[in-house]
Amino acid sequence: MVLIVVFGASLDASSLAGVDKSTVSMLDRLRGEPLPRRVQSHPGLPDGRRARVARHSGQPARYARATEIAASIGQVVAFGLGFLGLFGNPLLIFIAIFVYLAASSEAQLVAMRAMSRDVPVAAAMMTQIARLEPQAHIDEAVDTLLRTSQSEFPVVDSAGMLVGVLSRADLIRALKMLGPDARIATP
Amino acid sequence: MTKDIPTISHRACLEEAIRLLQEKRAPAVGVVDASGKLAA
Repeated sequence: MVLIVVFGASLDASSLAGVDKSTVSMLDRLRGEPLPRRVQSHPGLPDGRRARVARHSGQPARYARATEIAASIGQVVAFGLGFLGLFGNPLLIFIAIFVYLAASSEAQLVAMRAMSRDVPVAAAMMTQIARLEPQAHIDEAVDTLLRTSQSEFPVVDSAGMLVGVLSRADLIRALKMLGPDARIATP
Repeated sequence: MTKDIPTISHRACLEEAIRLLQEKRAPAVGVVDASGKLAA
């Protein structure tokens, strides 16, 4: 009901067809997306409640959509708060910024999780990556850092097991504190 | 060097890797094969 009143939602088949297209804007998706009735009636539900509503409706994938709607409403509220802050208490502007950013962040996070649900990790992992051995010296790691574009290096023992990760910051710190002859496993 | 890097099977889904990154606050997640070796 909120979607229909605020966003002018419609439930006809033609508008529903474009819901999953990435080229369709968020508002257009909201107009066309038929959410479970209980989610529609409570779009601003807190996180846990939204999950429960989506789960109980038998459509867990709708959680992301419900979050997107809740975030949109939160952003509208943030705009309202910011507008009021311009003419009243300036503290409202800071609250509005916080609410807006939090809503955006939450929506992006949930959307990313939803998109990654069916993607195998092998499809996203880095395969051409330089590795370091725990016994290697810091200067060898520095050479590798300069030779590659990586900022983190997996440290792998002779058996191929992951021992840790050496970051650029770790490397610079170790170089400064221990010198170039120290072993990687030390820092 | 950061130790205790979380690892995940190469057969797992990306969502699980993201969850691990967030929960462990690790700089990376190691993808390992069935024998526990870092997958190439």
